[in-house]
Amino acid sequence: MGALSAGSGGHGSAVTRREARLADLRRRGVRGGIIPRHRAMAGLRIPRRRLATAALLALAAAAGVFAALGPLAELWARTFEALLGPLGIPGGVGARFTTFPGGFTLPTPYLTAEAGDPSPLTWRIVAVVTAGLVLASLALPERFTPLRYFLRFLALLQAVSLAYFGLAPAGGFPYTLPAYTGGLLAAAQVVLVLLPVVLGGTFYVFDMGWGRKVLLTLLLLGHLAVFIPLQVLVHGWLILHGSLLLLPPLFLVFGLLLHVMVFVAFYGWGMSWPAARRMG
Amino acid sequence: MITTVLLVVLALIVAVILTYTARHYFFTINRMVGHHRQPYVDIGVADWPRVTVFVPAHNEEQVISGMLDALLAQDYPADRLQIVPINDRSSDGTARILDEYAGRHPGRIMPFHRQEGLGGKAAALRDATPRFGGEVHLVFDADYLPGRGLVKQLVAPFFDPEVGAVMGRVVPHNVSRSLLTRLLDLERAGGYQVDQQARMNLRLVPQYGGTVGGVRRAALEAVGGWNATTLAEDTDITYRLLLAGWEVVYQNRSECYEEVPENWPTRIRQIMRWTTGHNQALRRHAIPLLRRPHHLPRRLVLDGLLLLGVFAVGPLLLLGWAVAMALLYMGVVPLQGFVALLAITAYGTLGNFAAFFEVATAARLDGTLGRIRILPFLIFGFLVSLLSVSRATLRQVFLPRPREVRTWDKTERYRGGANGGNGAGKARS
Repeated sequence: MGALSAGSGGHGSAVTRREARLADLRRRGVRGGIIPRHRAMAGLRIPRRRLATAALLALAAAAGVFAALGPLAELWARTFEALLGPLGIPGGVGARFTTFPGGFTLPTPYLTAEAGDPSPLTWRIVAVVTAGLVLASLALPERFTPLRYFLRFLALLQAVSLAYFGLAPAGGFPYTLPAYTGGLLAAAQVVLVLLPVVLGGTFYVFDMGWGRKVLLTLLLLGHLAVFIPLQVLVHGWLILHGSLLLLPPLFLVFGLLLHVMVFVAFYGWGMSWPAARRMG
Repeated sequence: MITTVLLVVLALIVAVILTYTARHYFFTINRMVGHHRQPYVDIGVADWPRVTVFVPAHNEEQVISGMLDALLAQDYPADRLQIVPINDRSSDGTARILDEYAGRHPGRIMPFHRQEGLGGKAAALRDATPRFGGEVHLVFDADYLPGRGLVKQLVAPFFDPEVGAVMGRVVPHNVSRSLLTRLLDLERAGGYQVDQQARMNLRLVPQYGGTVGGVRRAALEAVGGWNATTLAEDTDITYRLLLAGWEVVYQNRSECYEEVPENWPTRIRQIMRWTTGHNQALRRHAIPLLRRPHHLPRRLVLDGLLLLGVFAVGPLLLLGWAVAMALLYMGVVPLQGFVALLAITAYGTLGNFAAFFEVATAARLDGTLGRIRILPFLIFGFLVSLLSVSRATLRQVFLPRPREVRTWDKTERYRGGANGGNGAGKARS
């Protein structure tokens, strides 16, 4: 990987350009290539300049996302308006405002359609589907163990929801679909602002080349900007048809966690890119 | 009242999880840019001490020859290297293979056949070690493949009189067999390349891992020898040495190659065995560590406790989920407004991400970039580990095994056949 230090690392700024050149020559192979250090000794030398530019890029990207949240909320609202009809979701699109420290307010769209408690038929159908998940997990071969565990985990969350709606008095569930969709989108807005900061400390410090760092950031944020409203629409559609019974597992498993996994997928891809400079 | 209790419990659990998250970030950043301590790696010529290499083996006919050949080929003075394969009640051809090797290499390979006493690796080591000399006792599992210079590398730290145990790096060699082996390769990279090396750098508590490492015999005897009644004799000896004032050293350069489990049931059994053993060590050593012997700095006590508690995090996380779900259904939001939003999303992103950062950094330091692309699949490995660790812990709490029942619960081997396996995953003995 690029800029691998001479093992002990960390004294980069004290090394003069001439000494750095000599150090580079010491690792020059007979055909001009670089003799890489053993992986056990490899470290990462982060020149101050890269550290500073990583911080600047992270802050600039976060500030850019923050500034774009308003137009993005508008875009999401229009996406909802365009797709509510074809999806058969009743109601319209509302806007709630999150107030940030300093008095700045940010609009967050939400679906105004209301979902109710499950009817006895819906409750039974979801119970059967939940039992089906457990049976499917038992039927899957052992090589699908992670999927088996995931299905059982999902079934457990749904079973708790079934128990709650089976036992609690009608109308007692403390959340509504409009509040849920608005809350999920507000959390997603914060995630979008935070992600460049996370990338700053965990990705920009590596020697990838600035073009690729910017590219990965744009691809990630662009992906999420499109993904999030569609995710909310899918959640809304499912909750409208399956009642509030589906809200807890959707929130716990397919909400914020899904954003993190999208981030991890892009991050893993980016971290697999070779260094901008030659191996050292 | 119930709400307050649940909120306090949740806050405590989140605090513990955040501590481990911060630890992940701190170790990873240290490994990236910190000063790497590898103080003994350059020792190549010396008056080498007498070494005994123990290879506990139970039904290892598929792999034991490879291990013995690798040990015989070591770049270590032959008159100072004694190889002791411990045949613990094998019912396959292990005993015959060992005797054949002993016949071909008299004085160098000295098999120790066990037919009585407690079963298991710890008991086998406890029985065998007093019968053999050597200033340094190294231990390898039978399926490992050490390179020629490994014994020298592992012995070199013992020139330092304060060192009581040494541990090398374990690298899987059957990586491309399945998604699981690829995930385990990533996990191992994170655990050794980052976690162990960072603890070494920071003078904390590198863990002796039971194989690809060893102990100074005098130190071992001073702390009472191997504990035969634990499933994690490695963690146990790490803490007994630590409490007695000995140093444990990690050698990142000393790599040895192992077979990782190729199927999930084997992996689950492995995790559950590790969990049970590690929790035994937690129960045994947490209080003595908290009493903080005068020679132990606070950072060692803190890191030691965090390391001891690693396997307790799984059930704690599940409890946290249960409490969070209860609060969710009760409609309780711990904090209101923007602060809550920021705290929850930051916890969700930064907290969940720490382990991925550690693993990706380790793989990048290793220079094998392509494998990082499967990073998101680690979530499945984490899920299986989380549930297996929790299951083992609950079983341990509510169904403790009788002390006298200690059996080999070994990992399945795959070398030497398309279908592979020695049946270890199907039958215990």
